[in-house]
Amino acid sequence: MAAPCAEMEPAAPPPSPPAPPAAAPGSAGLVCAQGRNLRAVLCQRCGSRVLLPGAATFARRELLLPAMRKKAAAAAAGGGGDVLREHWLVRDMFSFENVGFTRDVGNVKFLVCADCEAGPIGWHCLDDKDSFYVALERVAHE
Amino acid sequence: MLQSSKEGADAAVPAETAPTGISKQTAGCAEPQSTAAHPSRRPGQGRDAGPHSHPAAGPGRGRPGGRSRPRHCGAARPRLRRGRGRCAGGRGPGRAAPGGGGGAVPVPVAVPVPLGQGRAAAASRPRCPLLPVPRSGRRRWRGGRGGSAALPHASLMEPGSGLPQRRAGGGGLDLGAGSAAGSPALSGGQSRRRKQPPRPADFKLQVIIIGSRGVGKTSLMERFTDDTFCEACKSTVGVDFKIKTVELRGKKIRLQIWDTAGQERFNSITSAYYRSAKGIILVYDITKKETFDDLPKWMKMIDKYASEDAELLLVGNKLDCEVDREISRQQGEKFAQQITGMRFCEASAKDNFNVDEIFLKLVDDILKKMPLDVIRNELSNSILSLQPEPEIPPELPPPRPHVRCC
Repeated sequence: MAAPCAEMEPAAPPPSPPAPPAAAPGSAGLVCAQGRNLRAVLCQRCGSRVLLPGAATFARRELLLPAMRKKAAAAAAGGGGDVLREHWLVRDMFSFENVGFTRDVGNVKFLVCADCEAGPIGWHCLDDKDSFYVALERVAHE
Repeated sequence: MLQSSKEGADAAVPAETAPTGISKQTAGCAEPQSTAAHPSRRPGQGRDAGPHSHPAAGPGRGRPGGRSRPRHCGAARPRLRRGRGRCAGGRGPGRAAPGGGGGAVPVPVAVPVPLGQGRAAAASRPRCPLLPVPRSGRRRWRGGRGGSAALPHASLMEPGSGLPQRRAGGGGLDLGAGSAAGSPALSGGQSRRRKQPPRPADFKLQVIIIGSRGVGKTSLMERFTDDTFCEACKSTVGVDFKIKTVELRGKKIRLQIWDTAGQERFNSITSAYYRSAKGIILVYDITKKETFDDLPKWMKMIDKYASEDAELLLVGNKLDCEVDREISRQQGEKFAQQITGMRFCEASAKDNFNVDEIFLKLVDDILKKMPLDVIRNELSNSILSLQPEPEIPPELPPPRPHVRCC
């Protein structure tokens, strides 16, 4: 991956919300009262199931993800990426139904669709092994 | 059936399939045939001269030291089948002492659930029953076919009861698997409902796919998970591993699949890949002889680094290119027979022939050997990326710092 993906927020401990953050109006229908995903999370392109309902919690964090490409490994030609702010946070890698992990880019791995490798759909920093983010904008909801 | 309880699934499933009717799709998955000799894990290496070469160790248990990897005794499997039979019949108070005829219990055959989600094509495709396990003789331990029958089953209930169990968990495995089925780790009340809320996985397993470049490893994996085959093989440089979920006999299994494409230099694939893998799929291309000739080198790595109880599966890929075939099926079978416990299969990721079946069979084999509690606790976020280790030529033994040369 050519584009380094850095967090936009200042170096801060990963969010550990005792109370779930308020969801933006756009994602109101997706988050339950406990802050978990109401609906299953699917790949936008192939419909592969990434997360079951309730497997993740809503989290706000500014993360820079490269633009979606057919291959996650393809360099983000033209540079840049998208700053995405709304994510599903998963604590355990094995909570995913189906997901792929790219090779390391610095100390970051990106999440891609396991079946069609579309992505990146998510972000994971190796320094924090218990946080996996899936950007709402990069996925579909059942 | 997908979401039903484990017990319910076990009860419901056997009625649907004919264990004896092996469809075309499973015809490709041959059970490794037992041979008279002792096929060692490493082809061409005669480990045991004969069944009685090590009298002290008991029938079929002797083996030279070193990095041999005997498989555990096969009597375990008939016991496990009886366990499953009990599950099908309803819950008993606990495991009865095995002692009944191992051959008397019908083998419940589960219908593998098609993988992936939302695949309309899967519904129309005939489901392939899992191959029943051979009742007599152990495909695992070649030493002393009579030995497996002679071993008292009860002795395997207690690990280390006189049999040199390489894996104490192996003996306890069947205990665990059988009794655990009686007390599902997940909340029993929940699991009894037909439609249950999503539950965490019952099992987490690591599987690696290895083989020379260009044999179609990635296509095999993609085919496994989705019904699309990419003609232009995608570069897999970018993907490290994938988490996939399958359901097998009512159990939910999370697989962490490492596809080692791009690291075919034998030395660069880290030993950690092998060590933690419960299943190893070794792929060659039937149309390219060199990929078959490379297999001993892969076996060296497996012998060196892989866990002794890892399930092995040899796959000859690209069955769709029959006209260009260079390796016959017999050659592939013969190679697999030489290695204890290795199954053989030919497949075509392009035609989706046998692809689901081989993965499911591999997972099924792994499950049969695994204790429930071990699996549930085993995998965590700890294995996120495997950094390459310093190169170790396969010929050299691993460094042992405290050994003095004398």
